Amino acid sequence: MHYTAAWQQLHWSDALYVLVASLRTLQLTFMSVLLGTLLGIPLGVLRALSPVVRVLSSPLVDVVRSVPMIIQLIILDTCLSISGWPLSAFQLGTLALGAWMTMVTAEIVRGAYEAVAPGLRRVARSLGMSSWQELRVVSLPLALRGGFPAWVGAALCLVKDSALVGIFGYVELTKAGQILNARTHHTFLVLGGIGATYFFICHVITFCTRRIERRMAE
Amino acid sequence: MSDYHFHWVMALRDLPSLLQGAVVTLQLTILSMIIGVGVSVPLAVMRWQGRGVWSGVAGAWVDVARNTPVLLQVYAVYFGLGAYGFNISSYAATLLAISFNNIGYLIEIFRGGLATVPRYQYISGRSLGMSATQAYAYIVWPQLLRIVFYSVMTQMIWAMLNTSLGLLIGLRELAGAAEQAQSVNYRTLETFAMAALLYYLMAKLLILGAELLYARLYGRR
Repeated sequence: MHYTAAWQQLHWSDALYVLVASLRTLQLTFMSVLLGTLLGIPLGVLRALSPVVRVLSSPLVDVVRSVPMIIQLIILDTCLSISGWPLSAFQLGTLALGAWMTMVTAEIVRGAYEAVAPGLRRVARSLGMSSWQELRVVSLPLALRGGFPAWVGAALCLVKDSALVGIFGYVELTKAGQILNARTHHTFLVLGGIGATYFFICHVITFCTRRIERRMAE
Repeated sequence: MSDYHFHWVMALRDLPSLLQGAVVTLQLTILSMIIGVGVSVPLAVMRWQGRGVWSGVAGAWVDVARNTPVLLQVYAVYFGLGAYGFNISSYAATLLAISFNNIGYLIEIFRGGLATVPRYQYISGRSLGMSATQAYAYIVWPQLLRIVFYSVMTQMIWAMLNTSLGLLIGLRELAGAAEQAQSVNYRTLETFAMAALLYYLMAKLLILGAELLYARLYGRR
């Protein structure tokens, strides 16, 4: 019997498919950046202020940064299955990428916090601010502004690292590319197009954040 | 935890194959760094001088390598070249993809370093009668290497972590060996925990080696 699939060749509807997949990539990135930032900023400040927290959390920071993301994902996936909390691939990806982002953000915030001139801090305290006020009004805003470019760099890393979650069944850009490639066999066209989409996403993020940086510098 | 029992002994039986995988990982890391430095140094100089075709090539390389996922680069090399009839082994594909990625990042690192070495150093070298190559080799690079040393070492750790993507195209480096072992011994968590530990130790080993090398070359920091 002669058999041909209905849409074996690339079709315009595939553009929509890639668009949806890139939105899913952005969704995963956004959620893990959100999680990582919300947890990372307090952790970073605590790491800068308290030696106990620094000693306790430094192995975590170390491990997250020197074990490949794919191994982290596999281990987390296995642990979750064992513990009887099977999560969706999206939740798994958010957790693993968010953990990475937490540690990286914490390091960025700590570095930026320690870079705030110590004299400024003493001035704030001698003006009668409490240590909490000094942190909230003086040190933290300065540290967040100083750490912003590095934080954007980490977020861009996450856009690219989110490709690994595709292996666990979350259909984001890279996985969508693989599916299209398996159907059409236009390998270079499909993978090139997917690459161009990542390129576009990263450049748009860089462009927007440059403007924010410029506005903050004014 | 539900009623899961750890069986470390069963997983430990596969330690030798994991160690074999670790050797492949280290090989790939070092080879990809050698290729990376070898190609990126001339490209960084061209990019720094900022004109000509090669400067454009270097710029495009940096943009592409740094703005697409490594996973996509690995797929593009393995399946992309395969689609045009170049069926290369997964080892060669991983090496090529990681080297491609390394070159993109290293060009930027070296270019940033070049910008910190004052321009007149090069010009004085030239006016003392050195050729351009000599001025770079004897005056600019020795100063530059000290500045970029730690950035290059960080890139080396990244390269090591990235080689784990060889797993997805069937290469038996550390992650691939762990995947293979757990499909036989059924102790997924234990096997991958061992692999993670080995990656951690290798990263520490590389950092330690780098510190020793730096101390040997330039004295204490």
